[in-house]
Amino acid sequence: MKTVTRAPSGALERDTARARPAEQTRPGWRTGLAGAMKRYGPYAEAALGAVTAIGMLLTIWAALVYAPTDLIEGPVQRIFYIHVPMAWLAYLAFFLVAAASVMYLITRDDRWDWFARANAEIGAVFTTFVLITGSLWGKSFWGAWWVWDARLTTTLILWFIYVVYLVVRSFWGRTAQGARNAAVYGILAFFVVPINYEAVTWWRTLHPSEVLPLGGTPQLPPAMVIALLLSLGAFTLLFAFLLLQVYRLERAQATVERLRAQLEEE
Amino acid sequence: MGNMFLIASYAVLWVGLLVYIGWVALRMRGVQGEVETMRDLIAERERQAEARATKLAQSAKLTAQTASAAKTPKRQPGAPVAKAQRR
Repeated sequence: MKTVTRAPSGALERDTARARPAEQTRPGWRTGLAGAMKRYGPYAEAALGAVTAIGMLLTIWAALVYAPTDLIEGPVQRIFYIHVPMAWLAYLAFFLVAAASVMYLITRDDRWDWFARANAEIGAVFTTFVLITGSLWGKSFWGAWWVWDARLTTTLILWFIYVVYLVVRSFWGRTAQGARNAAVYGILAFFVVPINYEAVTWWRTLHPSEVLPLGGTPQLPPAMVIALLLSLGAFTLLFAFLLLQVYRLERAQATVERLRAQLEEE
Repeated sequence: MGNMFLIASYAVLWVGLLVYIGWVALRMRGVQGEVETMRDLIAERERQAEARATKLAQSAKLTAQTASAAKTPKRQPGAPVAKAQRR
């Protein structure tokens, strides 16, 4: 029989609050926060969705109208404004997978596991778009859909690693053992991210080098930097919005597993 | 030519994102439906168990009453009626 991971304290407040005796509920900032989230959560989420939509429209305008056309690459350079922010956010998602995995191994709280899973899914989706948009740019600029360049190859490896993470997780099911194994996998998988980031400096590659080097001066005109930062902001909002949705989905799926186990016990 | 790839990139991204958001929403709806069905099933089982327990308690009470009635001595014909029985 499958071992269902324990229900975390406070994770399924809505499901368990009615059943919990009054003396077990701890009044304090956590209860206050949960109450505020319950009351204002839907409004905050709607506001986040609206701001994300506005940000995305602004990004399209900035990328296609505001930013100047590149003299060498021509209009196809504008792919950069969606390709680069998505790549950075995929890195962020994979970092969050590793961080949540560490937290899961320390606390054994299922919420960290759900958070890691949600980030892995969004990171894999964003990496898919990075590969597709990069391939379209490559076909236009290099004349080839794909080259076995260090950056491209390590990105493909990164994509495979996180797709395997998701496939293996659904194969393992929602067991404590599966969550533990996935946490170790999530931590080890993150080691590919710095290799992928540094690939353009460590090896001779066709891929353009960093245009906004960490701690360095931007190698772009100010209008392009503004468009890129605006796009990064909008995509970060989109990332937050998606993370909220996928995390909630993970929580609901865990509730289903718990209820199923309860029914089987009876 | 460059414009074609630019349009293709933005189209793939936006269509892809919309499909992904739709897929997440569909999965959410499916899971929520499953949660509701299971909750109903659990509530139904609890109701049935409660009804069974009430029935058991009632039948136990009835058995106890019958047993106590059987224990009380039967009045012989012509014997004087006890005070309690008269009441």
